[in-house]
Amino acid sequence: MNSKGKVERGLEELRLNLMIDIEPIDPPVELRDKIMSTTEKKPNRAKSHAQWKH
Amino acid sequence: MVFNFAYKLTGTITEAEEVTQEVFEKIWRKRNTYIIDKKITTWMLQICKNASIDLLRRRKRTAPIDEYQLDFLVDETINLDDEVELKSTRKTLIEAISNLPDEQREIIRLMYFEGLTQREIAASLEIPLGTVKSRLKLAMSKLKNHFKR
Repeated sequence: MNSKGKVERGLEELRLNLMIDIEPIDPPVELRDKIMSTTEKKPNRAKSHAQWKH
Repeated sequence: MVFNFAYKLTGTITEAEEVTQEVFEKIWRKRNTYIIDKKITTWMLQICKNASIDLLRRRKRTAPIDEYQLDFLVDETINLDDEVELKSTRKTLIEAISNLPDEQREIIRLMYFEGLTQREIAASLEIPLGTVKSRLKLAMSKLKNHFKR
């Protein structure tokens, strides 16, 4: 992501946190790994189906 | 962002973690149905809101915040699609950030623009985690006041 994209994303996140009154906390350390392992082991069904058809 | 939103809606770290995993799994499964015109944050947070409500209903619990208030927050703040209004809000926010004391501005920069966690900020600045948290709290409170003026 370029620096403009980073700033825009950061501003949007900050705006939402302020509007929704969120006090940010760190997510558990292992959460990212859990998410990555869940998405990695699930194939894209549409793609798999398309590949199976051909 | 998703984790913090889920935490706001469920009120516990364990459930927020559960919802966040579910949200990313759904996003991954439905990524082909994402409409490019729609803001990705809107899409993600709507999925998060629905997943949080589903989880709370399954557990026969109510959200820590009122459901009407929740709908209002989601509809009125997440769906701020008016480009002019959005630009003006961002301008206000940039102005508010620039008025923060240096040490608080640095925390905001590292957290929101560099994507560091509070633990990573503490390590990077070689200050205690508690100091990061208190500076962040002060900064957020000042930004909120400026923002709501």
